[in-house]
Amino acid sequence: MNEPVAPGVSNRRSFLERMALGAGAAAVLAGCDQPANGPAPAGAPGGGGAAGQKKLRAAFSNAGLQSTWCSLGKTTAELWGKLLNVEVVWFDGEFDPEKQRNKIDNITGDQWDFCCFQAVQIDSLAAPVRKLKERNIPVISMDTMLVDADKMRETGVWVEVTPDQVFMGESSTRYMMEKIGGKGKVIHIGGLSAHSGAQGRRQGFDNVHKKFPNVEVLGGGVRWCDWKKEKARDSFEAMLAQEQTPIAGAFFHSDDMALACLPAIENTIHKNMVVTAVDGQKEGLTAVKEGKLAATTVNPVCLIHQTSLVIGQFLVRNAEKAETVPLEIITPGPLVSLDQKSVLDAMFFLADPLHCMV
Amino acid sequence: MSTTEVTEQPGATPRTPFDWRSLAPLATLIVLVIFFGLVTSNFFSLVTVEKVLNQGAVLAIVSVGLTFVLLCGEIDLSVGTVALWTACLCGVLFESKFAAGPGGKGAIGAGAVTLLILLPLVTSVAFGFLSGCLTVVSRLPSFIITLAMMNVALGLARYLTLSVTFALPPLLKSVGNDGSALGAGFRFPNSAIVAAVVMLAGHFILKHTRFGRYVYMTGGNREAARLAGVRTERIVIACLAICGLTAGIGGLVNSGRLEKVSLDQNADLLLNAVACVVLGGTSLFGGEGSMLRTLLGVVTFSVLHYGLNRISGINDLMRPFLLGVVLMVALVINGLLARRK
Repeated sequence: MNEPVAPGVSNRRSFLERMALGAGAAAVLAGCDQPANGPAPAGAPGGGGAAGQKKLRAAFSNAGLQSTWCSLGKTTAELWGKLLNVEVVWFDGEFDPEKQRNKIDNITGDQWDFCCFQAVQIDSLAAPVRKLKERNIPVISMDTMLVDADKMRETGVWVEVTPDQVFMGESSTRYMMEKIGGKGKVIHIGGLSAHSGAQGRRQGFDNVHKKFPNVEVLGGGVRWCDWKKEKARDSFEAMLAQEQTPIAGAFFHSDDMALACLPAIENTIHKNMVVTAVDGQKEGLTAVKEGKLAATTVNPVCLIHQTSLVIGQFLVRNAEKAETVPLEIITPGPLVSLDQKSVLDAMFFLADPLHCMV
Repeated sequence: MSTTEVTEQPGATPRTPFDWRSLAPLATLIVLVIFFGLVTSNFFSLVTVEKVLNQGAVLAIVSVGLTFVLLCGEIDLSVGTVALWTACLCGVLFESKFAAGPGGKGAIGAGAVTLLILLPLVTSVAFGFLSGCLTVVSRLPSFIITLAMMNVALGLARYLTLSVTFALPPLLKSVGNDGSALGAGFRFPNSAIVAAVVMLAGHFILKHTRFGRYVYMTGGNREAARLAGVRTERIVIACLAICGLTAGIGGLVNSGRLEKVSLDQNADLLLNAVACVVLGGTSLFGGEGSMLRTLLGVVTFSVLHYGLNRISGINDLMRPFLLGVVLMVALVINGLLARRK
């Protein structure tokens, strides 16, 4: 860590003040003419930052920027970095543990105030994180585990900022089960079987399914589709084709996979299927608003990246000790459906790339 | 192009429809159909035909271009990312303020839609053309050049979209998802019609044009072809350009089927398309194969893929293993039978 600032220079109250200023800046930005769909323009948020404080420098890496989820995380970190006077330097994981490892290996000797990593694969970044620990640079794990929980401290991971994957699976599944009246056949389309997020969502589905004995999961259980839309669509169609009676519902581990499959039920006996998913970003929220998706539970990508950044700057500016930081911080995400329009509207606002807050 | 007339196709294009090499994929297909008919319910139905046609259409389109490239003894590793680029460009243009605007909510005319589809396809041809030119000029294997082009197309797609998902013209969604009702609940998918047109065009070019014969000659024995007056460099460039075009069409149809375009599409397209072409019996070393064989390979692969998805009594994690085993067995039998010829 570079010349840690004395404790008291930044505290939570002053942070809240800056947040208020930042929200003001975001509100101003919201009124500006912005490019459609694009992330917030570089250099847009100018005010509300940690003015007068030393500028911090943070290394960020997440799984792969070709994913909309990860790309939005980068936009979030950069937006809030400007507001909090933190220079965010990005290293794309490219969905390849080896490439990500090489990139992080290359930067362990550079000057950083803190680092935030979402490892493509558990343990793959353990060695470079140990080097960062030797230099007393705080490392924050985002979304998925960098190392097993019992090895976090010894490796140099200060805290893991993560969504509650099990809750997300439970939330969307419960909504579906209740909407179908607790009986009938359902489809369960999963992400990547090795992904801890997908495992959590599956656990959530199973937890709820146990309470509904009259619901049969087609195909014998979850169909792992590696987050791939084509694969999900093919599997989904095959299961639709072999059923002669309407299928009551379907739960998908991601909105993207669900949206890719929805056209397959049009003009079929399954057209009234209750479809729920997880992610709750722009595409999913729009689908809920249009009545295509029954519900989605927000996987708060922005909140994860924003919280990681905020915690990182606190750790440095307050010169906090690792022992005072909890090992895990859960970032909550609500269930969004047309039943609660106010939540839907709020999520649209918070998930907007201009705000990057959920 | 040389004026030399070639009356016989060198290499080993089948003289009869039932030579050993043609029998292998056909036998594989028959075995698979019988097997899945026995172990899954309602497999022998028009729904199965519709789904196989729909799920195999993109593979068929892309495989046509790959067949040209493989026949002339080259390979194109960039088909997946060129397909992705083409769809991304179409989506970005569609959501531009000059077209349907953000979210693709605005209405646009038929002329604009045509332009939105043709312009990306022109760029996909340009990718293939450039790969061909660089292969010929550098004298490097097309494997290397198209490997680089694969990253060029991916990088451009990422830069263009910033990883954001884009909507597509309704026409593409219709091509990907709708079909013509033929009675008894059977719909002939529009995507399969596109695939059929592309395959027929490919078949006609290969079998009934001088260019087609030159493709076989170039792949069968490039030096002999060159001495016979065939401008083999131009053949290679043209085949890679055709491959770019079919990759672009495939990318558009695939994205239309999925209703949106995003960077995570077409990840398996290259390897699946190569598997289809080789499964049909087209040689990886050039000069031997046909569009009919590719069709057989696509149908076999699609039936296998669909059938495995229909089986419910197996561990889901074993599906890729089974897919691999069946493919391996089919390819080995194919190779053994070919040696008997």
